[in-house]
Amino acid sequence: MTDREFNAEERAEISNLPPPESGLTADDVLEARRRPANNNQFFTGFAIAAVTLLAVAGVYTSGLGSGDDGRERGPAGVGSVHLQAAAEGPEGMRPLKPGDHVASDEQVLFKVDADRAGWLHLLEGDAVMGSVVQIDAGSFTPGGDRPQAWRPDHATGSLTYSAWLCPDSTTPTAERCAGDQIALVWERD
Amino acid sequence: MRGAPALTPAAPKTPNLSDEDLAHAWIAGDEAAFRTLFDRWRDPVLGYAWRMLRRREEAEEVCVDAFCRIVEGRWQPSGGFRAYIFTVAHRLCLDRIRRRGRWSRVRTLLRADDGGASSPEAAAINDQRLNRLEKAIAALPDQHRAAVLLFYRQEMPSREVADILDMSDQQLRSALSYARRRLRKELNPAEEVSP
Repeated sequence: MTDREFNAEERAEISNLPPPESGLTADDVLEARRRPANNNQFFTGFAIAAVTLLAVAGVYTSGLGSGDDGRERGPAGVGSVHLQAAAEGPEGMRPLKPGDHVASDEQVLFKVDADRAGWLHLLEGDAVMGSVVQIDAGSFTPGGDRPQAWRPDHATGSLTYSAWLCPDSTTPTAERCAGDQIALVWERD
Repeated sequence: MRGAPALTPAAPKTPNLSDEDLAHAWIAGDEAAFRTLFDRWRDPVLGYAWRMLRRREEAEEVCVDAFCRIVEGRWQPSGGFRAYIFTVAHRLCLDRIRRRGRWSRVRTLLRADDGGASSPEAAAINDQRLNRLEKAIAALPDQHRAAVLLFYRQEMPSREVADILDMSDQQLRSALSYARRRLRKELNPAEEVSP
């Protein structure tokens, strides 16, 4: 089929395409500008808060029990949370199992499934990864519809990633929170 | 009247000012100037984002983000306002498309659990021809769709479109040629002839 420029009628068809219905106003923009940064913008790096972590590390790591699949679970009666991971690299995407190796040219995306609403704490090792956020029951992706891919600044062997679902935003405890974790092995360059 | 900046929407003097004059006025503290700019460009930017993303909520977020750049005074007087706002909107759309694509792949790999919601806007389009045109544009590759929307929908000069899309003139001509053939094939299948 040969190409030719659109005629006036065809151009008019496109130029007259209607705008979508929307109630967006200038006040929405001005209000958005006044709001603090979005708490859902997770994981812009791993360098957050070694401070808090040292204090809570013991609590986080002591409360996890073992599940049937060899992964760590939280105690009964506090709901359940399931942490999944996938690696993205030059070869494409692949799901990760506990203990899987991640190549130096790959990055990891996480997904959390929770059976109830609550506050989600995510950690790499002892380090909280970004903000604690409130989530609904169901699936949650760090970053929402703009998922964040992670990789540590320095690939340093095995690192454990943990998800904790708690009834509030205060420091998780094994009695109040459900947890799950997955250990991944970052290969060196 | 002199003194404090006008705080009421659409002050009488602002509608006739150029976009650039309004942007300058906003930077100088005239909120009415920003409101006029927003009212002038909301639908074009929102329509562009919606046709790029096909999700109204995301399009509105892009629109808000783009205008936030104006509120923050990031527009530079060295460039035209229209080119700036569409460049920002285009990059925000591409960013979302890239992230969305990556997440769809992850979702498939991990465990598919939530299907895509259909667009209420699409459902509201009753005109069959218009509906087909919207679908045909939506089916174009991202850069080709962007070129069509800016060149034909916004009626921008080709040079401005090429700058916004970071294309050479030749690349833009090629993209538009490809897009025209695809749109014709979708809209007028009987017109198709063998090369």
